[in-house]
Amino acid sequence: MTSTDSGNAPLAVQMRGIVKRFDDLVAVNDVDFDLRAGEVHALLGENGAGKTTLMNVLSGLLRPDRGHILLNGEPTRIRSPRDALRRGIGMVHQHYRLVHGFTVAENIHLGWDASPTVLTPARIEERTRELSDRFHLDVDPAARIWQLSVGEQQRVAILRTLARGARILILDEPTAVLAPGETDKLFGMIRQLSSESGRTIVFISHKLEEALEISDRVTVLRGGRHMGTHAAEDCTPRMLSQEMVGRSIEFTRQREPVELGENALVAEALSTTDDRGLPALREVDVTVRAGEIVGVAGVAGNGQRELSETLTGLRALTAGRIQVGGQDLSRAHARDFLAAGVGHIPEDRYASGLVLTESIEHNAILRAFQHPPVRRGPLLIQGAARRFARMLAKTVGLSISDVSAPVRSLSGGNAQRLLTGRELNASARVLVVVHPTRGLDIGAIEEVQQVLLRARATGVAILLISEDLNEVMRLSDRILVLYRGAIVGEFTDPEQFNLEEIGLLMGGALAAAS
Amino acid sequence: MIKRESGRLGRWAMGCLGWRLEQRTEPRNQTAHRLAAIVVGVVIALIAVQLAIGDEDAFNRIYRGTIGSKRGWSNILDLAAPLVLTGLAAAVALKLRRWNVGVEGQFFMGAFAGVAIAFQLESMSGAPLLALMFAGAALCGAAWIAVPAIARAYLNVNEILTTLMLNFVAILFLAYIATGPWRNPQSQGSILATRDIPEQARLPGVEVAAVEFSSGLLLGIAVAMVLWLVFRSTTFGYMVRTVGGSEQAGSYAGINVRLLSVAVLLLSGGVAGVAGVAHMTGGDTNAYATSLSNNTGYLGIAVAVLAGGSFPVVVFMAGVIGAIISAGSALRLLDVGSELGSFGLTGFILLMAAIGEGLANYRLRRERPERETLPPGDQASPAAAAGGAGGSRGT
Repeated sequence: MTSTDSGNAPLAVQMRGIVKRFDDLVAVNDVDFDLRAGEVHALLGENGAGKTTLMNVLSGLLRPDRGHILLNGEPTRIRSPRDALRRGIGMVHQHYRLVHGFTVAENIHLGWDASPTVLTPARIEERTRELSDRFHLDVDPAARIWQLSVGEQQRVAILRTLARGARILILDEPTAVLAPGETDKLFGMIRQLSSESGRTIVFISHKLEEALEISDRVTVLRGGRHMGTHAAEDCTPRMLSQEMVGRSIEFTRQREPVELGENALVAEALSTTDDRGLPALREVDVTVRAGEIVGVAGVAGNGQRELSETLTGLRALTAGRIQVGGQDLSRAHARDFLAAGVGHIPEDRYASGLVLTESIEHNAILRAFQHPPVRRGPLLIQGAARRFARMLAKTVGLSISDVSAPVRSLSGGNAQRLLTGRELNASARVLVVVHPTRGLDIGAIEEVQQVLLRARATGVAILLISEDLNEVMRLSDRILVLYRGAIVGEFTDPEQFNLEEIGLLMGGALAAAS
Repeated sequence: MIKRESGRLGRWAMGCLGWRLEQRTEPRNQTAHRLAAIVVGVVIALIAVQLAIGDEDAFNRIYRGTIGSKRGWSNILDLAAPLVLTGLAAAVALKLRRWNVGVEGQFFMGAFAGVAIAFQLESMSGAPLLALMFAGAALCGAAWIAVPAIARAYLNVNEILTTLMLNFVAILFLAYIATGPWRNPQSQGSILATRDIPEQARLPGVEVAAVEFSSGLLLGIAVAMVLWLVFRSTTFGYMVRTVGGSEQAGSYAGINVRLLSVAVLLLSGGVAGVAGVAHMTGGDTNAYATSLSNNTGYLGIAVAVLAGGSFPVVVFMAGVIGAIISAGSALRLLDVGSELGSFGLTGFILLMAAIGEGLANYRLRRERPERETLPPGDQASPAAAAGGAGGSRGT
């Protein structure tokens, strides 16, 4: 915890009775929110609790339907993000909104009133270096954004906001895409900003431990309502989780031993390239047996996407071999993998796993439309499609009355439930799962994980690729660590999974382990 | 800066009236908004015509030239007939979010295939000859889009540019053919044409309730129904909807996205080719001629967009555009250029439709007077009081 003496600090921000509606959805409902000058304030809540919406109101992106804001005691109307910055409020969004082809210095100076009239690379890089020194944020001014890791990009986004004079810095889910090591660095930065330069920081998160570690005070939102504000030292994770979800969640893990079967998925010396044609996987060996969950840990961008795509036929191999149940699929297409019994829960469920413009029914039969009874000759049998969709909805416990409703009307949890159920239905043998619980609330996370464990118990071979290390450790029988496209470590004993060691390997610190 | 000020002014004005625009999370009733916008557009256009011409006869002329007489109705339907088919051609491509801007060129190439077959097999009797001409037109239209389709699918070359450019090639090709051995010796001036196709290769007219129109319209409606059925209840249609929604989802579902993309564009070109031969055999121009298309291909794109890509609505929207063009030509006698009349109006109504679609993202909500509650104990300050009325306030 930071040791800022903010207990009696004046209130920098008072938000009173804020209401923000979108259509019939009340995203923020009569919320009061205070910020003391110089504090680190965590804003906790599940997805859809209204955290980001509330802060979008404070940073001028959204106007409240009701309520008012006082800055330093003065009633203030914040008209736009630019207006908010003029008043010292800046927000770093989950997507950093950086121009990838530009250098760091160019991004910092883009659309900034204080940019010099004549911009030479040398000049703006020098200015960027000064800013970097002033805020102790280490960036390379001449590097282009696409060359940087996610953590480094985040630093640029923060520096850009600070450079524009933000005294109140809002960070939206800043740790969502970071590796353990990068998170520590970010926390160091936050502490320094708060204690040395007296910045006030709002830390939006749904991770309890992180919120408690970094903040002075914690505010919990649930369903758009304010549930409580506490000093961080008075809180326990259990009590906060109860406030967040309205009931207490079991943190224990329940994994029954399962008899391992045949090698269901065997991949040998897989190599492939990414979209830019650069090597993305280097001679990766993966074997998953029936009834086994093999976790792949790694920081995003180290070949996870390419690995899942090669193992489902969406990306061609440059070298290596893939066998599923003894059948060679090294040169096969996506539909051959499906026919061989390989299901896929993709990284971005809303872009590839689901067709958002279509109905629940359309999405339910995405894996079944090529086969009877849904297909007869060239025809799609509407009645059979509907029956299939209803059956699937029932199996996964979707309480919907109408399968012709658009799939975008489902919550994130329900969408993932539908997708998971569909893939398990389509594939009895192997399931390639990528970030299955990203962006879900605690209740849905628990449920999706249970579904995976049940599938494991029925003898499905599961390859779990996730950036959530806790999830990987909780579910896996074996863990592989992927770093720069190669497997750099393997942990075979679930009792001896070591968070610290895996974290170090993910960051490329060690060459090999256990 | 100015934009924001005017936005604030607008909000303030609406606030005074007690109404406010509120953003929807997703658009509602897009079709209804679009239709309402078209009606508003027509009304404004009529007012504009009245102001510009100031002749009391204008309305009367428009009315009689369109829905006010049998002759007017038959005009509308004849103009709509080719637009149904070109609209369908563009709408097929839109299902995959592709833009076939080359409908005009494929239309001409379809007519070319028709005229070539008709002249080669002049002695053949009507029905089989027509069947061959239509089949040839569909193939030729599809062939004309084949290169853009393949380039788009395999090399990611923008189809808007390639299909558009091929229109000019088709026009030049037409000039070459119409000045060659099939030349019509009577044709002169700027209109290039071959001689007329044989009598038995012409589609008969249709008469319903004493309104005569081209049988191409019936063909268009039939094609619309077939397309609607195919896209609705075949696995092909399912795949198109999937890939149209998300190409990534398409590959994920095991669909050969590239092949499907080529197939859909070929289908689009084929329908455009049929439009060309149908218009030549059923319309007033019974030859391969520059006068065959009065921007029919381009208007077809407008029809498809107005119809939101829906096949049944395309039929209706073709009628709407047909009526607008009729109205435009009815005004020609009053010294209003027909281009201004028809294309000006079409453009204006497209603009209104776009605005209507944008408005579908908002809804009007009755303002509650106490929206921005004042901080307690602050009522006395004049600045805060001004703020309560919805006006701007400096700080």
